[in-house]
Amino acid sequence: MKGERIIRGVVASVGVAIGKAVRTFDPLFVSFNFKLRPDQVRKEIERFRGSVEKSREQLKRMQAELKRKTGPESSFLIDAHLLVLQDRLFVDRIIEKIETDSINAEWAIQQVSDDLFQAYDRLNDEYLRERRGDLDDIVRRLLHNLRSKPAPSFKKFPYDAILVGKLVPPSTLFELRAQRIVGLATETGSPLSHTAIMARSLEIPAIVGAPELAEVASGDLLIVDSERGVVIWSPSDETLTKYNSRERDVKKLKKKPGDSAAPSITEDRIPISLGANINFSEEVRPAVSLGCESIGLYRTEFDFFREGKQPDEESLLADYSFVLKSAKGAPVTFRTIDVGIDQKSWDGVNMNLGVRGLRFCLENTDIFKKQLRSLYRASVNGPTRILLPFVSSVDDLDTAHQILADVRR
Amino acid sequence: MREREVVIGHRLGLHARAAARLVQLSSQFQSSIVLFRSDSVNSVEADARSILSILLLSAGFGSRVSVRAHGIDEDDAVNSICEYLTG
Repeated sequence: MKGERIIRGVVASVGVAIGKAVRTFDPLFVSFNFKLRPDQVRKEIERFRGSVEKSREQLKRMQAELKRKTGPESSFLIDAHLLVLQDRLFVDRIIEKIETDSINAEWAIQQVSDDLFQAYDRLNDEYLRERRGDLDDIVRRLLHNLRSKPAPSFKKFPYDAILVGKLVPPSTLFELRAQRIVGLATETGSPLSHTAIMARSLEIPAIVGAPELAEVASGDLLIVDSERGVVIWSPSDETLTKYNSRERDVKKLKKKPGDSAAPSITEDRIPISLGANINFSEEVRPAVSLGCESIGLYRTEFDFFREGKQPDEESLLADYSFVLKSAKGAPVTFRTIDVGIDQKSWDGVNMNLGVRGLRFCLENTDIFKKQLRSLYRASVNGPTRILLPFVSSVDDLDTAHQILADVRR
Repeated sequence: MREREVVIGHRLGLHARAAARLVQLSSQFQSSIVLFRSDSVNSVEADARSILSILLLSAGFGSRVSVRAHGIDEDDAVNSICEYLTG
């Protein structure tokens, strides 16, 4: 049993959380490491084999195209990738890990590839050390293809889960908001990131920029203490008792009614209009009940960047109507989809840094129109405003006005 | 069982392309085939059908490698693999 360890980081969202670490794998292909129930092992191996098969088909297609365009010379690069996919040292060992350790495919891939990466790093040959890049590529492909079939227990988080990873995208935090996430701790990131904003609005204590978290594994006990700016890794019983009693005190404090719902008027009687920015529909009701007179802006993109199916017009209509009804007459400003640089990539969309804000919508008019139609239809439920983010030219604005006019008709 | 030692004749050694060809070549035989560095005391055995283990042999140009095959076509296997490795 290793001793308690204090890991320093930057506070992104205040509070204290005690729970078990759930590691995410990679900022681009977010996945979680967890133990399987005995009856899930078979299916998990099938899921992994499916991902290998899919990867093989993709590489074969790529190879055929390369051969057509450049001749046989460069297609040997793909050969190497294909051969890794049938390599016993790789594939069989991953399956063995899933079986003997009862862990999900993502975790097994991580363990086996980490071992191999270490072996590569020990080589004295610079050229060969570079080959780890090929392996890295394969690993990413496999993880990506695993995502098309979500793991059976993706939705089953341990109680009091603390998300740990290099970087956790805001959409992931959003997708998991209904789960029992009590804290967040990331190796990189800043308190200014959208993830940090999301953590604050979900009231999840969060520490970011703590590289030492790299060694923390799924299942490890953690305390995220954003008052001290530290994560305590495998805390001693003594520390746990201290924190547990403190947590009870905080809960008692929270139950006392505050004066946050008092009118926002200065001492010399000047009223100040108070609005709230929100990320998702459930936040409107508490904001209004605490005295907000308007919703300054509602960030709408999270609906589009979550796992699984894209929202259809009806589900957006329901969401926006719910927001407007919850606002009880307070004006709501809806910001149309803004793709920030910390957003996950969108299926089939080229995420160049230049394509964000309004320009994204203009390049994806189907999605834009769908969103606008839902907004206009929902607007019968209360005062509705539309904000177009990151307008970079008059032309873009003209085009947007044209689309708005089309939709209204 | 058949075993033979060769000197790697490929200019870049057993790197990505050569390793890939070696795996493809080895897969044409029934015998089990392993490679190990005969110029190193504690060399691990590499499965000739595993590209990762072959790359990890880190056998550069001029290094001495032994090819060992066991099975019905062991003679053919060792001969054609050695021929390929000498370049």
